[in-house]
Amino acid sequence: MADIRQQIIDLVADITDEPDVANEPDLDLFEEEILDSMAAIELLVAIKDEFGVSIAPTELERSEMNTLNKIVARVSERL
Amino acid sequence: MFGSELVDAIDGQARVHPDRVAFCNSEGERITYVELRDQSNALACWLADADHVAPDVPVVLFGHKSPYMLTCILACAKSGHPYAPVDTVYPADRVARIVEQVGNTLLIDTTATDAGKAAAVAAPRVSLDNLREICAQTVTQDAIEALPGTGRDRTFYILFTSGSTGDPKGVEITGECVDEFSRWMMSDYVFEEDGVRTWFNRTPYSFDVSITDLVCGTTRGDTTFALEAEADASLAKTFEALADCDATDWVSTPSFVEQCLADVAYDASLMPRLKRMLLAGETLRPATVREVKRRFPGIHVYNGYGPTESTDLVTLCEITDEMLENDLALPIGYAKTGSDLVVLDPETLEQKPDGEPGELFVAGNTVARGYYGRSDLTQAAFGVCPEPLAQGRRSYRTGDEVTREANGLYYFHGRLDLQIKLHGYRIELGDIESTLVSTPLVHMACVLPVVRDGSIHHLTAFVVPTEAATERGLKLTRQIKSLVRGMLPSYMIPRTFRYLDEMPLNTNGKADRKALSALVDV
Repeated sequence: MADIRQQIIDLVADITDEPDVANEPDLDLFEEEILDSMAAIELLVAIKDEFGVSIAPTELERSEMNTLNKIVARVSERL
Repeated sequence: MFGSELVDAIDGQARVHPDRVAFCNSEGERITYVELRDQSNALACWLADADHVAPDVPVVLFGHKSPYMLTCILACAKSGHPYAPVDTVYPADRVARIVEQVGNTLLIDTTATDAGKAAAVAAPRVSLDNLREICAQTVTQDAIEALPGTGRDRTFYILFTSGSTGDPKGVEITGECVDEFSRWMMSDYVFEEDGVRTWFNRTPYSFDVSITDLVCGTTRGDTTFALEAEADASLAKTFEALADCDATDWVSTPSFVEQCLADVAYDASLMPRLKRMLLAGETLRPATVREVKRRFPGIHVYNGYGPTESTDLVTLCEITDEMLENDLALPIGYAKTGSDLVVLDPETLEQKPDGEPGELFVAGNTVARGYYGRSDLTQAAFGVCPEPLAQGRRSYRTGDEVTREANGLYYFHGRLDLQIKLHGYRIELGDIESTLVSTPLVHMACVLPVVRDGSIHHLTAFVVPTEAATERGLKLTRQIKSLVRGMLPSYMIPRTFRYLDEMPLNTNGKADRKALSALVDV
């Protein structure tokens, strides 16, 4: 679990170009303009490549994956 | 009869197909051709009354994808007022500054929810409730015939775009520009064929790609389907809307298509009638077109290019399989009929031979009048092209670097200045920088585009904070973002911020973008 978390932190940090996201796991990434709809899709593609977990962009609403903690939860429940 | 081929063509559809839907959106709002004609006539008669607004002055249209936007556009043309569309994505401060530049004349608010933003302006305001009442009034044929209408020489619309010093600048497009653009699109893109088409529209009326929808979607009596912002935020809702609208023709930026392609459900089973796709506003990647053609067998994909200052598009071509096989970069198209595209050395203004990159100058019948109320900016960008090359016609200096090949196709390379396109949005980096330094937390700022896979991925800001900034890292970034959120639309807010003790400067004493971009590429 800790491993997945770190891997996801790295993915989000890489895509958003913002290493500090790890310190604010409940920050609303859309509201803070750290993620936008294009970056969210990149993240889903990266999650598929990294974990083999396929989440269609139409499957989730923004409110289900708008924080680091929620993204970790969505991936974990599908592993 | 109103001095505009476009307006007359739309009114003509009201006679031929009165009950056909001209425009509908993902919220279920719709308007037929006869309603569009009658409502715009009623509103035009109201606008023609000098007690309501002075003659000839521009009217600001605030809204997003309401059918009333279309009604207002036609009413302004019929009553001889240029319209200045302002979208709801703009924060209140920017709305107020645009309205002020226009002269605080009159604002028509077509929104029910965003009243707050438009309510703050100094100009008299027509609310949605007032607008509904006005549009429902019965007007006499005499009153309609007495309407001044517009004309080829008059300003048809004023479209505000990012300005380098932080003040939006208004591009003045004339009736001639609109009608000539319309003629070209109808002959070179919208081919005559049977059956009513449905145009998928994603761009609000305040961005110039929408003039393509307006012209193509209504001139022949087709239906335009617009995706509302609410659906935009949720891809699931977007896909529901796409399936419902059953579009035959698609107009958008490449990024939006790429976003849709990320979901396997985006294919011919979702949109079985989709036949044509027109993409413009940013670099189109071959991989995107290949994937579109794989998902929608038999589809025709077109790439287009053009500045707001020359009525949306000046080049267009279909992307053939041959281009996809042979080319690393896709062409932006062939020159529009009626426009001269001239490639010059940006320093000496000497013409470049085919195959060599240079700055693109556009001359011809769709070049804008200039920037509204800004003769200084107009002089710097219009009429610079040497007269013989411009055939004595009005010209516009694009700031874009292009190459013309011997076969007549043009290729886009990038910008020669600090204006960029991010996901189709035109942005002056200086606009963002001056907004950042206007906050108490930022001493100096330099904003750079971060490029991945050949297109601009996001913006990053290098900032030297003031002494008032006690935090660093994400904490400071959040503080700065919350300050600029009221001043910039969200697409102009840099995604990431990096903090420096000192700004590296070049020999001119300006921020050294080269040195900073080396930091971005790491």
